[in-house]
Amino acid sequence: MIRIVLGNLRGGRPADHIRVFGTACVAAVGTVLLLCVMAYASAADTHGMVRPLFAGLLVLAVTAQLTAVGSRLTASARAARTELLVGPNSEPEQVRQLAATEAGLAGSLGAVAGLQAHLIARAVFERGVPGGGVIRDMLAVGGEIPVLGLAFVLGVVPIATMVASTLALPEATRAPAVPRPARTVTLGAAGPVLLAAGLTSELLPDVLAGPVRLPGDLGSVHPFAAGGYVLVVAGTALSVPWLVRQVSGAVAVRTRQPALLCAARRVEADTTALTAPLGLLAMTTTLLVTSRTLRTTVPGAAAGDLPLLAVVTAATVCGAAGLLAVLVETARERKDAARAMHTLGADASVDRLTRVLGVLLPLAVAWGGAAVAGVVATWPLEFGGDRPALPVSARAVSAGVTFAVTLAAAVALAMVPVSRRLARDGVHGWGRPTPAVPPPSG
Amino acid sequence: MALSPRSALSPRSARSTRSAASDEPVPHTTATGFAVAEDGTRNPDNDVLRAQDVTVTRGPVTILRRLSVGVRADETFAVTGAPGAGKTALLAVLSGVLAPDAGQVWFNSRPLHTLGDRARAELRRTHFGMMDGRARLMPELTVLENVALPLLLEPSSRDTAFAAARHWMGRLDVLDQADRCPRELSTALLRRAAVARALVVRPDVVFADEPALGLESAELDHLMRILVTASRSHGIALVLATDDPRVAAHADRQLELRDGRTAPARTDA
Repeated sequence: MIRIVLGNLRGGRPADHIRVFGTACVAAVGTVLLLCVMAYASAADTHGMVRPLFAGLLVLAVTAQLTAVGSRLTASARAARTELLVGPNSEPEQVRQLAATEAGLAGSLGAVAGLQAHLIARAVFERGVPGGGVIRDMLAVGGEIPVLGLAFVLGVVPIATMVASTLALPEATRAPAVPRPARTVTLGAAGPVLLAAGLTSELLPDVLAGPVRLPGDLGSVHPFAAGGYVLVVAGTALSVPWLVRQVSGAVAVRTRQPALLCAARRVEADTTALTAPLGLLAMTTTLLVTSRTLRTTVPGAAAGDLPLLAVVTAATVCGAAGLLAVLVETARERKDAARAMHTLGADASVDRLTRVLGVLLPLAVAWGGAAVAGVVATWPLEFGGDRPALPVSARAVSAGVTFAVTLAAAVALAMVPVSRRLARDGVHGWGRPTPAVPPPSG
Repeated sequence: MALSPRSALSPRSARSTRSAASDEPVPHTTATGFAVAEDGTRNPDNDVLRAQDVTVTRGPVTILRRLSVGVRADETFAVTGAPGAGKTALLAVLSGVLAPDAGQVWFNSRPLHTLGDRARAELRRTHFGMMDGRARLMPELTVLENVALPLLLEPSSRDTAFAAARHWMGRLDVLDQADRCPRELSTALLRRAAVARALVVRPDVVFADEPALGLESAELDHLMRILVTASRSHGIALVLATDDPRVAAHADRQLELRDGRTAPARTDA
């Protein structure tokens, strides 16, 4: 199996090389961050295990998500190469085993490289290199990393890449990623119910349960208010993709503009694939909107700053990567649609507008819906409810908003030309694998 | 054949004129009734559609070699030949999807070979019905929306477009599939929907590339009967590209291509 993987690397397409190199890089960065978290926990053990555990899980989640996106984006090249190496009748199980072996190898190499990078950086800063205060803090220079912790990181990162890469493998299909959804009640429809439950919970008086002290310097929260806030955020993450689907469907049955019709139907068809990215972006928006309302005016850092920034960074990166993956995976359908429109005599402007609307429509609905949910989530405070979340500083909120908006806007802006390029030139080994089709005639 | 209102003529030079909306050159007409293009070429015949000495190359490969062909109004014309003979390329050139590298293409008195992309796209929208090899419908749209799409590309109301689409879908027995996705339809139903989409704009010419690809004999005959009957009853010229003799048998005339050239005649069925 390992020999086949190595053979794959030697003769693979650029997409194969990018996947392996990307997986190793993601694993290396993940390892560095996990080691930083571990050293930080060791240096400041008064904080207990809540924060390091939370941060570690976030790092692993982002590592897994980025590896999964890489695996999805290069599935076509992987399938072609596997067919060449194993034979035309390769079983899906063989493809999965190859994917797991390759991701495990790349993850292991990345983890070792990350460990080396971390140790070298610490050694450099331990020798008293001037400056680099933030980096010194991040690396937790002076904090000890236990050997067991090292072994854990070196084991858990490759496992995360293996599992993510294997689970993300898409099936070969020429159909759209998702057929037009049937009018059935989906999980997303439970989102508004969660929202309502969360808001109700936030309003419950604290006589039912007093404030609960959190470990370390995290302060205390009221369980009903905090639980309600979590339900509101989760409800928003579930509701927004459902809302996007409903809005797209409603637009499609009313508009006479071909570009808007095609974009709305495209978004509606992709909603299931877009659920995770849109949910993550919606979650980020809700968190930032509520944090802005709840921010403290006291100068300096607050207890909720780091958790907020960590969640916003992780969710935005994962959401943006997911959006890009969906865009590339549906490139073939977009190309077919563009060709059909051209044949029917549509102007190039119709195709261009379709692409722009296809990006703007889901993002606008997601951001708008999540912002409204965030505003609503802070209403109970006006009626005497308790603060539902940890206090955050104005500076952290500004940093979070800047990062989320900049990254999301950059991805949205990049999606339009990327989509155009994919529609014009095709995917060439990127995206989902396709089964054999009869050759064109004439 | 009346030109689209958007193709109203305005002076451009002593010999040629230009469409006001699309800013594309259109011909003027001589005393003998022959249209003259910007480059001085004139429609060599009164065919509704005519290609004269058309050459198409893709890189080092020449797909069509100085090919000349004419299609008369109301006739069913089949371009036949083995795969790779250039049938699809000829249809693409005749319909304005592809601009020839050399030669002339005329639709009535309009020289397609001198028109730009936008003007050719406008012609396809208003005068041509298109049905490509795989009956490619937009996968994300419903069948009804697919059929109505050519009308939505023009300034017509949604209700009018959908009413016309329903009318043609009813005539082709696919109205009950209106709200389904194309991927949920069988090949035969997809072909009928594609025919409905091609006819919904009431075109002057319908181009059908391999219209019966992958159909059983019974379905093939049914589809071709519908296509030919609808074309004849509405005075539409039908241009088929096929390597299936059962499809070609429905044509009034056939032209066989071989390596991008006209093969020895097998005309006037």
